[in-house]
Amino acid sequence: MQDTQYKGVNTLLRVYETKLLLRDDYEKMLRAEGLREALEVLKSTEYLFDEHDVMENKNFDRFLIQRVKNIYDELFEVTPDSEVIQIFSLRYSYHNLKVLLKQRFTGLDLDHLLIPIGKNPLSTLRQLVNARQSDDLNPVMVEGVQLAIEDYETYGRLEAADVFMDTYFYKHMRKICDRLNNPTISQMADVLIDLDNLSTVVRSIHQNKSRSFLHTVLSSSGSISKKAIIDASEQGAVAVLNQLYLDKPYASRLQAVVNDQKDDLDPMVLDKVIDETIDELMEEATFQAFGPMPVIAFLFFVEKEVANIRLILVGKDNQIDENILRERMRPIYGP
Amino acid sequence: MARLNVKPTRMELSKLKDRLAISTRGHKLLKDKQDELMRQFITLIRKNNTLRDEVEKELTEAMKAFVVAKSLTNEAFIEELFAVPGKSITLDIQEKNIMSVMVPEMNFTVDEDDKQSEMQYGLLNSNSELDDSIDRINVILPKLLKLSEIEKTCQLMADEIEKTRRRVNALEYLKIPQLKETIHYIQMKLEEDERASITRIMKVKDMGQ
Repeated sequence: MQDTQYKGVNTLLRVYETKLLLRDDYEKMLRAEGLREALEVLKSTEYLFDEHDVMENKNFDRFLIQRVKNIYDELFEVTPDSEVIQIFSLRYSYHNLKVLLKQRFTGLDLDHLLIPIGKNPLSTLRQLVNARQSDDLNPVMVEGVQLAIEDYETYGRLEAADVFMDTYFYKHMRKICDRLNNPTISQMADVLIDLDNLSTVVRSIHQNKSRSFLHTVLSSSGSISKKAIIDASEQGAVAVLNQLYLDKPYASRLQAVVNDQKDDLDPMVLDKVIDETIDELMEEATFQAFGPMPVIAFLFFVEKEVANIRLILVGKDNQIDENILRERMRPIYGP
Repeated sequence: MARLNVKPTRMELSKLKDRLAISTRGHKLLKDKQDELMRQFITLIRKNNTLRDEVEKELTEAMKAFVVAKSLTNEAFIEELFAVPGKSITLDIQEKNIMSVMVPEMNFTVDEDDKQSEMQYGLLNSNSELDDSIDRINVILPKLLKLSEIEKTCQLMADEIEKTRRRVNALEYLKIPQLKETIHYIQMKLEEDERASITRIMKVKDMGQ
């Protein structure tokens, strides 16, 4: 696919970008005395909500998800290749599959946890889980669901839903990135998967998880081999970073985490550094005039915007200190 | 103090004396029980207060951490992680006798099969802050369960102390004084009857002479 095919979408994105919240808006929300004042700031934005209803039910996700859904739906329509959007929407699809699988395994009614975002409607995903077969869905997704059901039926392990869906999410993402055949997207997929693997391995080491656990949860779709990560993890989290990540373009940021904490890595600090690294990558992408990267970057910043708004609203509702909220704020789009 | 409505006979007097003896003995026993219950109750309450302060402080911190961690990701993602519990806990309640109060002794056992599963929740849609808050809650859980056991014991003992106190008071300020007064009344009445009888016999004897 030619990069120029995205010129229409990219022009449209420049308009959409003006609707994203700016640093000033976040400042006003952070300084707000309470939830009502924070919601006042949102009234003048693209987020549509009934203040009375939100104040009463504190269901922030309802209007936040609606905004995200509108954006995804619109971009699915106007983007030349819908798989570009799927790089981000897959997370919702695989979440929905987990919910449907757990529903199948336990017989519980978990429909309220389904999120109607994604290329394929919920009914198609439901049909896949029920019938184990689908002609409309990507074969990677179908295979993941089939294996999860098989594993559950053989061993009766409920975590099969989590294990297979997490692994196949990365596989599916890799497959899409390979098919798009765009070096920048491939590089982005490498960074996302490698850094997620790093975060997973550090979190697992902190929780004293076994080697076999790592083998189960790590993705082999990144640029660093799963076996190498598992082998290095025997010597601790710092060894994984030192042996496998220091030749990466983002090594300097990670190096700072090691220097700060000598022989251990704090998973929370690492998560923040990972976020900043991905943010840097996405910021660069927003300046590209052609190709699919601006669409991907826009979606990234929309997701981060929603996460920031949720954090502030929940924080204001629970009287959480402003500094704690500031520390956890995700990258903000724009100056 | 109102005396009992009984006939002033020797038979009643004997019955009332027996009842007074039993009441006095019962009063002493109940008083001893009340004292011992109070002693154990105070020890437990002290333990309960310390544990409650500790649990409340830790739980507030853990819940704050959980709220912050939860707010970093979609609520449906978090609910999905915990929609099906990763492990099941069996609660085995046995009864323990403390001064005739049956208090619960709770034993929590994590299913052996579940212990083998290292995957408590999916890592894709969770974050390290969530791990940290869940770890904190996991640390508090045994203390929280212990607190529930102690608080229930305290509640049952407080009910028993209240009941015993009422019984002791009823015996001390109502039953025993009533019995004593009635016994005194019957004794007086019997003595009076005896004197009246002697006087009547003397009068009859005088009339005969």
